[in-house]
Amino acid sequence: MSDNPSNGETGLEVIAPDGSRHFVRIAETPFLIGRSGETAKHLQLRDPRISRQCAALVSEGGRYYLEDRGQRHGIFVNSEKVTRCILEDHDVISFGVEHFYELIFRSSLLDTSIPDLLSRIESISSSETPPSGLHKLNLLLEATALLHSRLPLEAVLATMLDHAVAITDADRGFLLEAQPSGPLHVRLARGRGGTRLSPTEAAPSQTALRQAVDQQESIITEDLAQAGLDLQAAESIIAQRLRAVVAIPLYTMPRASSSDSAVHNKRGDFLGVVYLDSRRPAAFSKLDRRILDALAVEAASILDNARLVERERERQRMEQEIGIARDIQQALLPRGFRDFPYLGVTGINLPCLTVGGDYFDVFPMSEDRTAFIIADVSGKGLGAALLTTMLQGALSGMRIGIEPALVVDHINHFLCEHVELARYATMFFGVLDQEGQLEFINAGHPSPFLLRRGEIDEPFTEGSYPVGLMPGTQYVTARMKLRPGDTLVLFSDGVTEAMDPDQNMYGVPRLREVLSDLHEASLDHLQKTVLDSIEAFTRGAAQADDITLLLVRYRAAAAL
Amino acid sequence: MPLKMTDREVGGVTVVALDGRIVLGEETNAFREKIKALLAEGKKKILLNLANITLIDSTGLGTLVSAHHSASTRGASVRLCNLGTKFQEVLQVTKLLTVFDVSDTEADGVRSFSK
Repeated sequence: MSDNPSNGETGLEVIAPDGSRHFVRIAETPFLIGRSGETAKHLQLRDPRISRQCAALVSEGGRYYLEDRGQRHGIFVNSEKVTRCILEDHDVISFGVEHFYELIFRSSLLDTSIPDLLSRIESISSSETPPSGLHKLNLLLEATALLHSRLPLEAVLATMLDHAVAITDADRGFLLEAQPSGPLHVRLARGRGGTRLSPTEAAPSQTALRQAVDQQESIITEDLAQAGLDLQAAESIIAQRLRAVVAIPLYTMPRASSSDSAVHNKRGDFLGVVYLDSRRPAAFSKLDRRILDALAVEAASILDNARLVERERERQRMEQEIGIARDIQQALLPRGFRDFPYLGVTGINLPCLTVGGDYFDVFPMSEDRTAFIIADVSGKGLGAALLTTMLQGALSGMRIGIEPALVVDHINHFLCEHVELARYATMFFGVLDQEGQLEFINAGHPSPFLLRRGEIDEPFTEGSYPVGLMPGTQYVTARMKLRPGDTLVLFSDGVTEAMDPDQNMYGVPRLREVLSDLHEASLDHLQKTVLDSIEAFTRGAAQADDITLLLVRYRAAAAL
Repeated sequence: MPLKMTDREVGGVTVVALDGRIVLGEETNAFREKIKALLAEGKKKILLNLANITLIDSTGLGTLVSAHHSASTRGASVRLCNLGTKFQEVLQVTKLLTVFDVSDTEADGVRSFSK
């Protein structure tokens, strides 16, 4: 086998024309793909439109390359025709024919648990072990993970334990799980014939458990004398008049192979213990070690997979929660910028994570006064997002006629009082009336640009501290007069600090330059031009901060 | 990239040379702990030399301000020197230049405590 960069975990997800998917591990290279015969040794795509000898994956210097080996319609990676190219994780390989197979290249399967499970199904189905009851159960469990079904894991684990009880002819069975810290936790307790025992009532022998864990091996203790146990330590065995105990420690399996010898030589992480006991004195005396070993392997695999499934479900749940947070945050932004009689508005908020710490709003204060605001909470992600929501709530107080400076004072006081939040916000708040009179408060925010008859200015550099940093700050409202046609460009520092792949900053001068041609442009066009310019500059680099723009244009006093 | 902090005594002033980035996470935590420790030791005059700071984000800025606050409430003082242009700009925009006592050089910074 040639050098393989990620321990045999790299592979192809094969999507059939009917949408079904399966995963093929790349166990050796060159990995040959074709219609039939030796040239399709590793992946056969049975379809006349594919050449017998089609394509191959080769490994060089720790990277995988895709080579066209004669597919008559060509080989495509991410819809681009190639003869040979490096494959990256998630690249999509297609074959130049419609309604046909697609292959997704996966190079880092350890990142998510699902492909990990997929690859393990692969390794299980190719292993030599004859399928036992538990083995089938394990396959079922893996399938569960794949199908995202809601088969209760407890039921799967209980079945596994019942099986262990039946096989060993024990009275009781316990599944104890290792925890990151602290003692083993009894996850399940089952009696003979599949009866449920309360995990809290039933106490397994701590001595036997400790012994199994220390020796990293299954132990059978027939009675106290033979096991050589300290009588005092074995108190619970006497208290429950237990005669025989089996304790099987469980370890994660080496991922590459499932042969028995490998399991013994390479212990994975400790997962827990299957504990079985019986009141009949020599209940386990005839128990074959090999049965215990097989039990250990299967039970460990089931428990390990159950945990992966749990983690996957938890991750999905978290993702869903974050998705809800994002929907709420976006829904709180002003919708469908209606044109006020004397001003036009548009804006956009692009969080760098799912949710963000920037926020803007526009709302009427009265018939002839309109408020607009842009704010940037320190930090990013969910923490910052929670604060933006609080800010928005507090600022909405202005709608009911509270003096803006007082509201800002109040927010500052509130944030300073809750120092443990360790968050603050910069914001620019403006109220424009129909005569063009602008009242504004700048709380540590970059000055918006003013576009006026071919001139660009930053007239709002004066102001005070961000809210939440300096207790007792008195925020002062400043005033200026806008002329018809004046445009205010409000932005968060995520705009000017957008980075290209070489860590260069977009910068204020560049923004100024882009804006210089846009005095006459419609607001939508202006916004799009700025966003395009940022996108062209960053060349797809992941951004560290949220990008927010808010544009306000004063038209003219409505005819009175 | 961790934030490196080395401190030494110069004429009764604790000069802390910061090297790296002051950004959300380990860096700001380490910085907060450092200031806490110095104040607990009873240091009253703390000068932060920012010459080798390559990046400071909003959380880093917040941490500097809270260092300033915790010092003042203990009768101590945290001052800054050798600000880069970028950091100077950030302090300018946020008006926080007026909050901090800022010197151009470390020597000026040390001297500022004896005025």
